[in-house]
Amino acid sequence: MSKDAFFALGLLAGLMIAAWGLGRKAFKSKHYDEMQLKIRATGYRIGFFTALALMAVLMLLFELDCLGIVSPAFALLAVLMVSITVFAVYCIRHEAFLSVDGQGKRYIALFALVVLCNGLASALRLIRGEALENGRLTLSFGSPLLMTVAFLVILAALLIKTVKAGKEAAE
Amino acid sequence: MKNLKMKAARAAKDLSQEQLAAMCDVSRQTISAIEKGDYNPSVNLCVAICKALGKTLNDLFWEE
Repeated sequence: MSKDAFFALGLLAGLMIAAWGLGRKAFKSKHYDEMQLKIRATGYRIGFFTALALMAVLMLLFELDCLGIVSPAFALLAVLMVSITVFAVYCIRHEAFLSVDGQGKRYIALFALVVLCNGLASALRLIRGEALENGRLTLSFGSPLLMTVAFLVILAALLIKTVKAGKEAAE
Repeated sequence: MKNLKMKAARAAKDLSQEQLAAMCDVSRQTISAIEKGDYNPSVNLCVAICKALGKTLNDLFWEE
């Protein structure tokens, strides 16, 4: 089993543990009103179709042999992160994500930490020369890199929204 | 279409959007969107807003 396969297994296990640990209580405590639920439903739809479109593009690029530098696993992870980012940014923009008004600062701090940790992880792997294996980007380098980029975009959206919300409240 | 009647009723009761939102168990953004005409609330929410402002559905949500 390759290093990337172990990494992917670890990622899956981590997600399952996080879902089990945070899932029930965290999701139950969130209260979105009817307008926010409608916005989130639209966001899920946009994220879903973004993923579908990107998958179709990827299929074409792999068939044309244009993506030699990335593995299929990396490409799929990229599609996942892009669609999650699209959903998150849409919901943040329409004020239906993570209670922006209520606890925006806490989530900004959390996301900044995620960006920092993943950024450091990918930088370390790059310095150690673990970014490429057999001429392809490794999942162990690509995964934290994709997380860094995705959470950076979401963090930027959160910051912009928090500043705008503060200005509106002041008015 | 803007809901000026709702805005006027809220102002008459000296309530902020946030206060009205808290009374109706929705977010401030939802109240703002309803007043701007950007969102059509459900009947349940309309009833909750009317109760909070002491008005009837016709007073706030009937289009002349």
